[in-house]
Amino acid sequence: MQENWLEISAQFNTRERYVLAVIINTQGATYRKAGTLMLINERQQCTGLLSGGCLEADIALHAQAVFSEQNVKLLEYDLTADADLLWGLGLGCEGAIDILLLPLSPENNHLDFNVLLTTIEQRKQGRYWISLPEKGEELAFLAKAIFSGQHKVPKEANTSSGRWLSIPVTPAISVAILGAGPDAIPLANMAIQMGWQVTVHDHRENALAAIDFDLAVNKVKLRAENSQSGYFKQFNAAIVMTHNLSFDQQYLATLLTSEVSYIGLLGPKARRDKMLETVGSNYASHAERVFGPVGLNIGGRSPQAIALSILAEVQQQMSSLLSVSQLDMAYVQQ
Amino acid sequence: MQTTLYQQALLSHHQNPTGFQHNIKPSAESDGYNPACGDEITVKISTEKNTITGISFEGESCAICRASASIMCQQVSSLSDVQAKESIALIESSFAQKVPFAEALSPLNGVFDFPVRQQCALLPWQTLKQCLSQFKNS
Repeated sequence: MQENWLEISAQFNTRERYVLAVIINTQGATYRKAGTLMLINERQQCTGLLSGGCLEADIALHAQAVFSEQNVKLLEYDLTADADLLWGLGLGCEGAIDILLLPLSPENNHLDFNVLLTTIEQRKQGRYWISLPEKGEELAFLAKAIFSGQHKVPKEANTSSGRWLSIPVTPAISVAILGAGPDAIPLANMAIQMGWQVTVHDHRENALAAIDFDLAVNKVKLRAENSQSGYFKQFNAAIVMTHNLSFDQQYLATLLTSEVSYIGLLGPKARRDKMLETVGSNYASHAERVFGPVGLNIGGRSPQAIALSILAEVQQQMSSLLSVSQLDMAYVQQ
Repeated sequence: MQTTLYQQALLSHHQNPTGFQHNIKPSAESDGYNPACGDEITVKISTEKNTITGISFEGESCAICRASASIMCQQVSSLSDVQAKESIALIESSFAQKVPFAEALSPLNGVFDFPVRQQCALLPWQTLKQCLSQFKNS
């Protein structure tokens, strides 16, 4: 699953040319799998990672040919243990990876990539379909890609001959942090590092203004008692941490009527049960999406360690939900 | 198939490099460094009447740098300084213009598939170039 859509979106400019590097096939224990994308600009700057080693620098150099000739290019890194010793590209032992380089330009409408990014910004899902050349046919091959807001095979991919790689497009995880105390800072900043969309809420303007969040963090002035379930539709996860029992209870009551997949409650089990009881419910009824004490038990006590444990738990929950729906799978359509 | 052969040849040079830590009485030596890869190399040459009579290299470098240095030591030993400079110029222009290498230099063709390693392959030759300029000056 591609996690850095926000980062890619921030870099993308429809007036410029790019090369899109896509993993189309892997063998062995590679760092990333088929469907992973990396954007390269004309200054050889890469947004995203396809490997943990030197592959990105090598791909960026290969991309220069794609920029100048506007043809696709197929790279095959087949690195047995001996070859990896020689080239040192960090693919891992016995790893093999095929990467397709696609030219994105205003002339070819950036192969629908702008449509994909707009859809992501609207927090919708879809699939990006990329036509795959056969080995040796790259020079004569016309780069084609289609973004579809639906999960069924688009008409062109269905009717044309050849193979198409279908890549799931899922918006970045969106997190609502409810409470702008000092402990929200590492949580918000770490979530931004994850490539997630982060919105911090508090009813106190001074609290929101005083904390020096990363610029990418949204701030919303919100009173717990005024929160409505419809507002939370844009979020995958909410972490309730006002440190005020009454406010936390009010947020919990709203969130339980929302579609938020992860509701994290700061504080011990007893506090969790008390809040649920107050809103007329119990833990057993909501165990699949209410998490309290919030965070995985990784043994840290600092705000940073707690933030790490919370975000790890959110990641775990989101991944399990996606796996069940199989929306996270890239596959080749023949 | 050819790629595999180039790869095998480079690997062989890396594992049994010609000139590595070879004991010579140097007339000139120079250090080279590739900050992208971390390669550190020292090339030493001994000369007599404008002819390279001995060449060695040492240092911590990646497999490609080492293999290229080994190829270099095989190629330039017994060449005159003019011939050695011509060899270096050929290496540099071939990489720049992607012209295939022939004969004993042919294992370097494997580097064309991995442009990020091009500077690693060039480093020993560029360091030799610095050596030769010192030699001329002295």
